[in-house]
Amino acid sequence: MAIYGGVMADWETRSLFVGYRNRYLEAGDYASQFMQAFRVGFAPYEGDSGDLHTWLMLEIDHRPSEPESVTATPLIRFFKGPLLVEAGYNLTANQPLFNFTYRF
Amino acid sequence: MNLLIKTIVITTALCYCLLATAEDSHGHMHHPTHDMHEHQNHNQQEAGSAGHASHDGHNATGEPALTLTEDIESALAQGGEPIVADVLGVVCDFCALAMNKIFGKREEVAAIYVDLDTKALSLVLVPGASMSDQTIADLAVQAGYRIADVRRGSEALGNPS
Repeated sequence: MAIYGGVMADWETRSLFVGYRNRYLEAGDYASQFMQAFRVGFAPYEGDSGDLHTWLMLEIDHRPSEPESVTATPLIRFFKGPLLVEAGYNLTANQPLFNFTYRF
Repeated sequence: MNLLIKTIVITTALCYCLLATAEDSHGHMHHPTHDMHEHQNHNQQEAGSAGHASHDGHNATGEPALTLTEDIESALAQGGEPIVADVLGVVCDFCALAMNKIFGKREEVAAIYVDLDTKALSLVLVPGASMSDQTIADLAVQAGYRIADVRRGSEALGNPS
């Protein structure tokens, strides 16, 4: 039996963002993982409906099972209409980050 | 400590670049009601351009009025009923997209616009169609929002009842 769960919450205004999420996976002998992430961001300008929106964000991840348990990822988020794209770079793990969401 | 310094430097550099880009592009971007209080002249110059709203955002009692986009004006010209609904906590365009989709699918709705500045949902119905306050509230809940107030007709257009 495997258990997977998580919590996500955020607070935002037109120009400020604070968010937290965590997730837990328990899959017996295969995996047992917990991670949590805290994210802050701000928008350098306030876009209106249909505009290109831009957010500058910093995410701090905590993965207790990893050797480098705390990592930082500055990222930039763009969204326009149904498309959201995030690009960043994890400075601790030296890994790029790319997220893509399309709202159908 | 190195990590923190790197993070601060990169974030600061990104902020600076984007602020410069935003300043540069502000005059060219299409903002329906953005900065409507601070930049009245800017809006007046651009009033009538495609996709722009041209009202001052509020009626005589200070409540948000219908946002006049090209689609809204076109629907009004055809005789549809104007409705303005105050939406609690609508600050994100990506989230508000759900309202556009849910209301936009309704046959009664001829035009829709979510104004993030005034936190108001502007609707114009198809001529002869009707939509109750309860239906508007229920559809907003489906989109993840709550409605605080609904105004119709001349009140929605910014004229006191």
